[in-house]
Amino acid sequence: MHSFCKTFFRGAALAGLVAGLLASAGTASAATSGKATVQQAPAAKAQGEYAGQDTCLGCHEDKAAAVKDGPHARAFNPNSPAATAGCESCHGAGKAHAEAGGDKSLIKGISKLPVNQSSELCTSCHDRKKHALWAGSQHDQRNVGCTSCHSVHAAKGAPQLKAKSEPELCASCHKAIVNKQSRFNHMPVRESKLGCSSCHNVHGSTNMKLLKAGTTVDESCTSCHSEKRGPYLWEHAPVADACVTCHDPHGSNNDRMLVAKAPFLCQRCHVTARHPPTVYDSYALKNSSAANRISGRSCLVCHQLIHGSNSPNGKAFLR
Amino acid sequence: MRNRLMIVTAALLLASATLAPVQASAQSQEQPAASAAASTKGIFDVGFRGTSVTGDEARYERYSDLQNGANINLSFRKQTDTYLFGADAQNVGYRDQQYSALYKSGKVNFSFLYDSIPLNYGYNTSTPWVESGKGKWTLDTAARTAVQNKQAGILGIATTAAQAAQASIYRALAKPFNLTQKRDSLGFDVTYNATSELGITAAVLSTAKTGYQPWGASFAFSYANELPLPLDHRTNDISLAAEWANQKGMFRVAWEGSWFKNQIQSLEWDNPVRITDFSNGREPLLGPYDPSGYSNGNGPAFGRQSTFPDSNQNTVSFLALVKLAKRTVINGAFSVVDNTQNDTLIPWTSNSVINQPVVWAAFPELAKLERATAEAKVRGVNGQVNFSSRPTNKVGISAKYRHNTHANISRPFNAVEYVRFDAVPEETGSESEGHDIVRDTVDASVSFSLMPLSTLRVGYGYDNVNRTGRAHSDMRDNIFRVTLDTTGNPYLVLRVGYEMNKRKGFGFSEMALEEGGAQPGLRFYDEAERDRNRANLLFTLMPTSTVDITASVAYGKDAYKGPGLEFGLLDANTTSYNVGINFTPTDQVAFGANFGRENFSSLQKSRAASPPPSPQFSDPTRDWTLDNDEKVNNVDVYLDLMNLISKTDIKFGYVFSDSDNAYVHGGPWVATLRATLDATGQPTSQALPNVTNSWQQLRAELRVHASAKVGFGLEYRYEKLDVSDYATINLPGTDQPRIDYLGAITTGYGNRPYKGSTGFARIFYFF
Repeated sequence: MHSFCKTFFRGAALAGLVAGLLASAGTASAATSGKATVQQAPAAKAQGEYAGQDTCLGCHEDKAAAVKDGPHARAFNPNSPAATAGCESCHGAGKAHAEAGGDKSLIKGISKLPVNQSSELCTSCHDRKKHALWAGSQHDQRNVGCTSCHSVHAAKGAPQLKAKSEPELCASCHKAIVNKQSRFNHMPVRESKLGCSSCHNVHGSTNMKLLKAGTTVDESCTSCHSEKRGPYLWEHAPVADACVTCHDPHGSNNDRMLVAKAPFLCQRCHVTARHPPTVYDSYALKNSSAANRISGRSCLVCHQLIHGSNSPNGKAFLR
Repeated sequence: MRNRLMIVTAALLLASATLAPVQASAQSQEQPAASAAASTKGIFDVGFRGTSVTGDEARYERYSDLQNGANINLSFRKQTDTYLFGADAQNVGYRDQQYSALYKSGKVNFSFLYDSIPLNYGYNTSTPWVESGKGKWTLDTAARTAVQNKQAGILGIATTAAQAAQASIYRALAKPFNLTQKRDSLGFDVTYNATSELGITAAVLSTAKTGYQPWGASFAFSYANELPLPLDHRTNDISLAAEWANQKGMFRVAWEGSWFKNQIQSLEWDNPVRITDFSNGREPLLGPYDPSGYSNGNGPAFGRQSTFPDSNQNTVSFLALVKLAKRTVINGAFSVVDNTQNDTLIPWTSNSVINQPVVWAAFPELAKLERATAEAKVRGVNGQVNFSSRPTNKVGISAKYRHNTHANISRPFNAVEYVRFDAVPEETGSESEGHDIVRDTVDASVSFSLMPLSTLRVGYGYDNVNRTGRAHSDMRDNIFRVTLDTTGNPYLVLRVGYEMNKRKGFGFSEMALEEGGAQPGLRFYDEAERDRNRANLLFTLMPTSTVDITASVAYGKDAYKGPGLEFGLLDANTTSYNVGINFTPTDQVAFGANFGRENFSSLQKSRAASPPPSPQFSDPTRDWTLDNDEKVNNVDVYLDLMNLISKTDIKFGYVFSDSDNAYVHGGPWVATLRATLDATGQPTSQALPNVTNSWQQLRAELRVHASAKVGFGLEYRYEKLDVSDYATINLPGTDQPRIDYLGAITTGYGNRPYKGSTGFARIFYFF
């Protein structure tokens, strides 16, 4: 009961304060929205070959409803369609299309365009920040374009995704990878703490495998796991090369998301003399102190500093 | 209690007082669309959660906090013609709480995030060590004395099966504790859009990790220990960037700084089998330490190891893009990374028997450290250039060059002598060695859209990696790719791909292997010669707009080969199949089901032998293999009924994942061991049982919209994990952890089953 009271009061107080803050923001915006009304950017008007947004909405009001809360409707962003030519920013000049009674051949239907053409259209604006390296990226090369994943008018999840969540969307092609979030040891993706874009920039990146941080696998992983970054006095060679030599970042049925269970993973490389190449099986597990090499943390119960050691005695990562 | 009541009352009054003006202002905003485009939306969700778990409760929670209590979530968005403001709060007040806010306007974008992620290892773990200070763990003095003196009836750490039948003295001394850690991240970023083309961004992220994690801390081969490592470290990241972009191109320059600071840079812990540093009174090399102390436990009274060192990383980067004619784009990036670590080094050893002149006379390097700090430094230089062009609608060309240099410029540390396990000084004949890695990658592909809606692409890649300190100085991969993608067809999506990768090694050094005591026929699989073949096929059929059927299959085979290869990983194969259906007959009904099956297999080879000059080292009858074969099944099913019953949303979801992992030893040496009986008549090699697990989760959610503003919800989640892992040691006949099994005192952390249910009842307020 004590912990319930504590949690409830803490949460209620915090939620009340947050609601108050938000309401204050709402009140302030209500006060300023009058000014905003005066300063509102005018809706795209008919001009030349452009029909104007009001003309478009005369037939396609449902499309506007889907867009109005999204980034394309943010008139305060001078680069957005709402601040420029409205619907015709993307679909092209529509006067001829409107005057012809809606002739589809006289307007750009984005979903009907070849994938690379629709992507060229989107990247005519989305050509900076995380979209800067789109051209020639892995998805672009495989004809997975903007409209393969995003929908401006019928988004189901943020940001403008065709599915409710990133894993659900990515699973449409990368099902085997997404299935790994259900593995026994996994990153907190199914707990909604991470998503695919936490590590990957699917639009193109400076790193391999579309990793968004750094320029090597290690730089990407240690951008969060910085305690492993080092550099250490004593390095473990495969660690300096790539974390994925030993770990499966998407999920694994082995402890610590290893690609194989210890000691067998270690024994793939440590074929020397004495205990590293010893056969560790049920006999060792049940009959001698060698059980400590096959149970629990296995090799790492002694060689704990496996990512590198800063101890003068760290040659074998024991200290 | 009274203070709490006042705080809650004040908060509620504040909320209710301000809700009224929001509603009033919302009403005043209901004007014709042409003059007011403001949109305000939000959900305030408050309710109660109850959880019940049998078995491993920590594993059930893992990355979340599901304890009983109130549950509060909030989401708010307000968009006008001049700005967007949003705020979210989830799991308010719990260990997995998250808060975020964003503000966007024409000139300024701002975002804020505070996120907590727990990692729960075990709630039924225990340890006989007591935390006596930061990074210091002590044991009961009387127990250690009794163990060292081999007092009759007292067991410290079991080393034989007979000893393992009795309890260690430390079992009764172990105190239960929650083995958990938490990551807290706090971040802000601001972008100032000076013009429509120029933006300047500043971001700060501070991430702290606290709590404990399981950690090895041992003194000898037969006397291993697992402790809770206390965690108290923080990483502060700051970045500044300026980006300019227009219709022709873009340019970005950025600096990122990252500082990792660890408050606990060493771990000291008592030895459970010694209360004094062992001394036999003899002179080196026969004493005063026990030359076999690293094996028989005659070592120090306590140990000390380094943990994570403080480090700094600075990166300066440039990114540029230019758009040319014929749908041609060239982009490139360049960065320089400077990574330094200069922590104070811990002494050679904590062992007073070794820290004395008589030992230093035989091991002079151990009298003092060569230097006081690490002086570790790595510099990275990275660059890439990409060329992409579509000169016609039928043909596309792309090419890429990437360069990565990882130069370890740390000053080598002289460790020709060192102390193993704080127990025994030894000659190693070596110094520390940093590994340099230089990688150059070239990739080119051409695509042909010769058939309607289909694109055939062929590509070639060349990857050249130079490494120091490895068996090969140079590895070169030649990669050939072909893909076929059919897109834009309203009924069918087909994607097929095949990749062949041949890796060759150059500059092989058998001496590098010998220096490490390795078999000359060993090849490290991350740099071994290898043939890799991968193929995949994805097929989606959409006979109508309401149905899609997807099937995919993927195959991968890595075969390790090359002159002289005899040991190590020999091959690794993966196969996966997935088939699924999604059916959306109306806007109110959605159903989907997917089944996936994966097989992973690998074969590795080794030789159990004593070092040269023993003839065992080159005796092939001592070879053995390990065949690892894993089979995994995945099922997921969902059913959404949205407003099929008036004002009611119902959702069901079910996920299943299992694994059957077999480890099969073979080869002549295993045959020999299985034919050899020990004193009790057991064969000295016995097969391992498979490691299996089976996880399933069922979710059901009901939401009733009583009105446009108010709704009620019920949610139920059931999870079941069955797991069988020989490496998890329990007290006989129970699911309770055993901390005192053969060869170790541990925390008892392991993989254990659970059944858990969590229910939510909530009220929603929509605004």
